[in-house]
Amino acid sequence: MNGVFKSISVLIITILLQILVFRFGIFAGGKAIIFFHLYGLVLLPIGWHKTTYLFFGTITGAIVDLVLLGGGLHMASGAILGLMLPHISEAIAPRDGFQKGHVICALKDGWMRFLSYCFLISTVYSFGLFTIEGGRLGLILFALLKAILSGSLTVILMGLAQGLFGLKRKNKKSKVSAYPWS
Amino acid sequence: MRNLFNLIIRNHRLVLFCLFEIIAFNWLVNTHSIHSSRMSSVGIKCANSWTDILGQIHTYNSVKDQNIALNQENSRLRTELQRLKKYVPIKQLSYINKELDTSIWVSTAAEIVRTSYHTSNNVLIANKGKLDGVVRGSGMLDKGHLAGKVIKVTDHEALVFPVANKHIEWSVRIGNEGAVGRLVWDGGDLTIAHVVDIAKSSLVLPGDEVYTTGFQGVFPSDILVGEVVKVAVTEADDFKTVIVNLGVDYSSIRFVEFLTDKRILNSDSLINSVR
Repeated sequence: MNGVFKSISVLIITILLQILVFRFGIFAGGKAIIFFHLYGLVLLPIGWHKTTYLFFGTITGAIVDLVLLGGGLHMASGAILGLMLPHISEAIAPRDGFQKGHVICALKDGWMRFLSYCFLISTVYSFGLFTIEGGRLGLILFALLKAILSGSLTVILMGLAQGLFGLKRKNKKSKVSAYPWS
Repeated sequence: MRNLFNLIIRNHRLVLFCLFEIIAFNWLVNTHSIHSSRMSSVGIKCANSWTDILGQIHTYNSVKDQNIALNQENSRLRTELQRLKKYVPIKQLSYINKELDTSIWVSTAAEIVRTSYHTSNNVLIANKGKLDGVVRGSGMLDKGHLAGKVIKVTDHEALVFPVANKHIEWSVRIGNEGAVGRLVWDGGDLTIAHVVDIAKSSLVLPGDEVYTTGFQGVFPSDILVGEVVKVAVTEADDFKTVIVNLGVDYSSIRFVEFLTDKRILNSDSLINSVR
């Protein structure tokens, strides 16, 4: 239960950060945009009921839309991401699969797997957003380019966040000494 | 209804996704003018396409009805023409000017209601019978071509053997004054029949027309049967076989006319008395 609350708290914090700070993270004339609230979705435990991810994705997008006046763009892309999220986690899972309730972490799963997961999530989300924003099939390649740029930028931020706050190394010095007299 | 609910429950994730997307798009359209105009143009396009499809279906139905009406009128007019032939001499297919005596031949318009043309025993059922003046032995024409012979009749239906039936033969003449032979169908192509027993000495060329002789009493003479496409001659045989392309198309046959010889009963009794 603690893990669930922790994940939801992280999601709320990332949404707040997106609304307050990273809303200004628009570069190259809107071609690369930071979507930091996706970090909260990345850190959701794996193995929940698939519909839960759909709800989380949609609600996250709707909140961002309400505050940043996105007009439904984030909600639509959040719903797409929510639908895709279980499939993405299945795609990057190791051969034995993830344990139920596992939260992806660079230390446990390796940087490669963590960054791939982040990149896929942010690219799918950005691609959905830019495609809907463009509203034409002719702009789909351009939307893909923008999605890759935004995805890469968001992944860098997620990597930094993971490096700064996500890694908890065990203390090399064991608390129980092998020499009771020491 | 229960199955529908089960289907929705089974695919609830997709249903929810669609619901969320609809809400999001509705929000988007109400907020952004560019999306609103794009949705409007897509809506107009869809509506136009739908109206276009409906119009095409309506036109098709209308043309179909007109086609049926025209075919019925055509059949009626052919019958009327046969009736009027006794007043005005008409030119038959041969060069001889003679009239089809409508005091002898009675024409009845009919429609084919059932067909079978995939076996060797093909039959047709027409919607006219004994009470309409069609009798056993009446001949059937399709667009002026020999098409079949009535084998059995009920009060309102007639069973017809078409040319494309292996159990019937026809007496035909090659050209206007050419050799007489038997027209038979070999069970293959519905449009092809063979004229056998044609003497080797007779001159038959591809393109010659084939007519009825009138010897059988089913049809008057000089009713068009088809056209010669090939002449097959073998050294061992004294006769040649003429391959004929039939004038009637059984795959699209529908409105036909029956010719009935009023003397048919007298003729039959005369023949039976000799036998």
